[in-house]
Amino acid sequence: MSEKLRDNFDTVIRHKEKNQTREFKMKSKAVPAKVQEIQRPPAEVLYGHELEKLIELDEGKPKPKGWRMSPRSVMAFILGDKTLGTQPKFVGKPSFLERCVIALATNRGLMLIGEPGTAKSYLSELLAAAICGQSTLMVQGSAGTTEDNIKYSWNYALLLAEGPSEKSLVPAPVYRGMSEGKIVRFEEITRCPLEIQDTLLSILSDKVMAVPELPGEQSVLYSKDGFNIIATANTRDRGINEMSAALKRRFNFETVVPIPDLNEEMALVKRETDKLFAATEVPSSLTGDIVEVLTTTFHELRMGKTADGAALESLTTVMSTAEAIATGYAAGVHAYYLGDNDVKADHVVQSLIGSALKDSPDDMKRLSHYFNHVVKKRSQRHWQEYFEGRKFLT
Amino acid sequence: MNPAVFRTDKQVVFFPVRHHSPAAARLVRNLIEELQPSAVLIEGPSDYNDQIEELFLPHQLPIAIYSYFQQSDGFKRSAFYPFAIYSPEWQALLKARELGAQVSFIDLPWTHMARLTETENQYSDRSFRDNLFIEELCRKLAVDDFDSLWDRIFEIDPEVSVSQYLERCHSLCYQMRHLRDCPEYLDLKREEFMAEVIKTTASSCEHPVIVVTGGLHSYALWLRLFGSAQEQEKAFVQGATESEEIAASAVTERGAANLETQNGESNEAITIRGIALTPYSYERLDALTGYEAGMPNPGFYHRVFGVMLDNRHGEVHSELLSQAVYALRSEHKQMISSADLIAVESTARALAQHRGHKVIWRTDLTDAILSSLVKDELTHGLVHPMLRAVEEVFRGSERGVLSTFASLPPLVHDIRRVLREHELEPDAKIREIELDLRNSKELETSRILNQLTGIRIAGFKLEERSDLSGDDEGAIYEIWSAIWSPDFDASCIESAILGGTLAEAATNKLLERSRRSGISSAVAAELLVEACLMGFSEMSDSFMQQLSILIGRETEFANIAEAVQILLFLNEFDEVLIGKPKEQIGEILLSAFDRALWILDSMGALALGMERRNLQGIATLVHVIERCEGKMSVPRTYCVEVFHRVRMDSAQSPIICGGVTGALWVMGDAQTHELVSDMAYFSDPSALGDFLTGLFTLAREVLQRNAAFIKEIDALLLAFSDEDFLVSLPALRLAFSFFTPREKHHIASSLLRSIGKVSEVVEYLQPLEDLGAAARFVDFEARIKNTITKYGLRGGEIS
Repeated sequence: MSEKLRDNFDTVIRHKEKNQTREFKMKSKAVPAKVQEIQRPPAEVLYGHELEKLIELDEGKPKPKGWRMSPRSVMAFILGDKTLGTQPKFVGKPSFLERCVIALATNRGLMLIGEPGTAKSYLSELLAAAICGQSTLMVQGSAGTTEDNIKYSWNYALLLAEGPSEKSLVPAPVYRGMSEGKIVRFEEITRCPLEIQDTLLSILSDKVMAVPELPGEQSVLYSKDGFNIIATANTRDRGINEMSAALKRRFNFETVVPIPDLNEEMALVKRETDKLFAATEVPSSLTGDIVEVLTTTFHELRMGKTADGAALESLTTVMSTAEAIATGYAAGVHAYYLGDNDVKADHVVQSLIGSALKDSPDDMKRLSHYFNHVVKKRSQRHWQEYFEGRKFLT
Repeated sequence: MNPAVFRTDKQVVFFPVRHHSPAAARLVRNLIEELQPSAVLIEGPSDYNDQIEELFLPHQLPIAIYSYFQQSDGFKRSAFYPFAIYSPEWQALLKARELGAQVSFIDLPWTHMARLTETENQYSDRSFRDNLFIEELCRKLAVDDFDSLWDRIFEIDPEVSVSQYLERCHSLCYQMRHLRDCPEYLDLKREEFMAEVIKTTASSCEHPVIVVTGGLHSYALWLRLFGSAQEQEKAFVQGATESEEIAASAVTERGAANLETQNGESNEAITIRGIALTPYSYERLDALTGYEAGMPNPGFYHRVFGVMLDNRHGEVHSELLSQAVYALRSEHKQMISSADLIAVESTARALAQHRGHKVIWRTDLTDAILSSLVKDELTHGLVHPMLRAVEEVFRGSERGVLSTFASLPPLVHDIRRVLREHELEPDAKIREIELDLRNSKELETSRILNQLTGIRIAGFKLEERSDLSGDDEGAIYEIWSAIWSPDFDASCIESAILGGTLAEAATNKLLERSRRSGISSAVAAELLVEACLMGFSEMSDSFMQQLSILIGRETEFANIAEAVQILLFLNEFDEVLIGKPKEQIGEILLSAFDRALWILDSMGALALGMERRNLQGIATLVHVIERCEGKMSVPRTYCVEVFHRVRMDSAQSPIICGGVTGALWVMGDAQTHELVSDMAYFSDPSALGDFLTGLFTLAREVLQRNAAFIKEIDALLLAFSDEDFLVSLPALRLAFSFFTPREKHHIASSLLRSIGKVSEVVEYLQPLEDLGAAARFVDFEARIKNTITKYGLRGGEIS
């Protein structure tokens, strides 16, 4: 990213901080139009000031080779530390994050697996941003991913005119990560064909990439310190079982679990929906009661257990925190544009159908059952209002 | 907090511990060695002091002091004070004995505490967990939980000195206690008692007295003895007198009722009481598997302590890692290469370094194994099999063995007493015991025998048992055999680990079985019946909880319906098994019923081969409605809703649709015309028979008396072409085979009547006027039976 663009980003950040994100009107005037058009700035930009401060504090402390900051600062950046002035960005056990950071520090690839919506990609973004200051070296895995997308390809006009040279080579993220000593993110790796996944084998074990087209010394690319790969894989639709054992060996696997604590999850839902409302200039906000019914529903249906321990059948649909946030956000937008901007339980139920239930009739049954048996028994007013909303579940 | 409590140069020195902390064990040894005290006073049951010598016999640890009592009102409770080799209490005992200091326990006897607490393991960590201060500190130090926190502050660094330890532990415990609203009433009473004992002992001693108690009591004790009035803050020592009511609400319900009686003691006389040593096991000590246990991974700490005593630092992890890998390779058939091992080792080292651990700790090792060896998704709430194998290694397999000189474990005495009381003592000659379960005394004996076989005491065997709802003559009986077996003593002693009394051991055994993975709710319900046979009508809450969890997890309709059936039986028909608390059974019955409806609601038509069991299940649900409506809050409306939904589900199989339609009809929630239209829906020749099978199973009695409906079936069949009729015939035959010949006759007659052919109706049975004819019939029947038997038909043997 160019220095100029970066400065522009910084302006946005400083501005945001000053005005606290909820002041919508102000923002549009003071920020240069070009930057504002970027829908979602990457973590290293969004939290650039935190990263800088941590790097400063790390002066003189031991760091793994090629890292910008010490593992401890990476932890502080992601989990948040009041004394260092970093906000919490990810909810998880410290030991889990320690394992992730240590895997990367010991030069083993890190494979984040888990249900969709458990913030795997976000975590990999945060890790990359903290460790090497760049989270944008990313390969998106799909059935159509080729070696070219991973390693390098050619500028064919130059190739034809001048033959193979470093000039005519177009580096793909892994090439760049190796040559610059940075973290490469490989999203949804299991969606790639197996033989494509296996191109990573020698890269991960020997930290070497052969470029046979180039002459002499240029034909081997040795990676610089700091290079590593964080891959993510979704365990819901295409499992990790098909991955070759050889590749599995080269990764440390870490399961990203849904947030186990309801209160923490509620706080996160509140925080994130507010962010979304602010970003889209919808002056809405979810009340504590609404956040409670929304998050509790997602939490209980996901865990297959009610707060008082009764067993439930969990839905086949993913009931992740991300979905809860999307549902809450949809409810708010619904209330703002089509209602009187007072988010009610009704809105939540309606959004639930759209954003969570997808197309499974069995899930509808289970959800009705949840309403009839769990929601109904909760006597507080907001729960009763929520129960009334079941009329939309038909 | 007054720093004077840290001092070791006073007459009374306080040493706070976490029970089962090897660091505390090491340091308390050092402190005793250094101070050469006159006496070492330990938090433990003071009524054991008379027998304290027994502790020094050559036992193999872990063992526990087991205290139990029963009152004349039937109230009985027991408690354990478990010791591992690395328990600070144990090391304090040994060291004090070595130096010839006086050793005694100073806590209230269990009989004085039992009514005010639910805790059975007196050395559990209950009070350490769930504490605001701990939560905050964990967050601050970025550790997962209290166990890691404690390790971090006290255990990992082998160089922590006595003074560092005292300062850290006193401060930690002070903060924890400070952040509690009000100390528990029981704690205040115990401290009052302990303070008194310390005072008396100290006044008669020349040299210092060391007081070894749970960390949370230390400062409070110091305050009581040496604090100024000002310092004796309310929150620490005076809560009880000032706010009896708050204290009352803080103790358990049962305890609250007894608060008026002094010290939580009851006026009831204690009829049985005992305190003795009993073998213990690391499995029970492990917080990951044991009930109310102390620290996790006892096997790990065991090794840490051993290494600490020998001053061989840093060897624990490699020993354990190789054991874990050996277990994974040999028992679990996992491929673990040398490269994998290198990855584990380097990850563990890096984690330890990152976390600031001086040596590689248990969490570093498990995290390293988890990180580099486990390549699967972890499911919330389940332990990965590989990790479980590692946990087993970290748990250690140590099981205590009492010295042969020690008095026998309490269970053995209890079993002998019970056998004597019920005149069941086995002889060398086998004897048969026949019991009429309607006789309360014999029922009691039956319960004892069931408990004995429940924990596999050798020599007792159930030979026969009648149907529990009564046989043909309405008798409910059991026949047992008893004989003295050479394994009798051994089996009693081995079971001692399960508990101190026969009843307790049997309960624990049942609990153990119910926790086995993969058991269905039907099996769980059978366990419940077993529990009832053993007479545990007031089963522990956790047992009932286990059952409801299994019911909640059940996904097979037939299984859950069987569970419902068993529960319904217990709730409704049972006379002998359950005494009073049917509410509990009722509650579980309702939740199982609920669950069954839930599964039925989402059950697809895929359950092939399960039709009969599923139909039986639907019938069971109808029985529940019939039997329990009015007595319990059976969700009838919900049930009807579900039945309707299943009935309307076009994807459902005809047999199940027939079943629920029949059920609705029997319950009066479907009209005959609805039945007819449903039948029309299934009038396809391949489906009709199945539908009717379902229908007849549920509404057998009512349907055969409904002439209009039978006429409809007739009309439907007449409309079939010959070919269609042949297609439908096998299933139809099956459907009608539900009826007895007499019922079939009844159906045929009513059909004939309803289509106006009254003259063709023949009476099924002609009244017998001639006794001689009757005798001939009987004779004829007997000859037929003989012939059948003779030729081996119907399973008889050829004679």
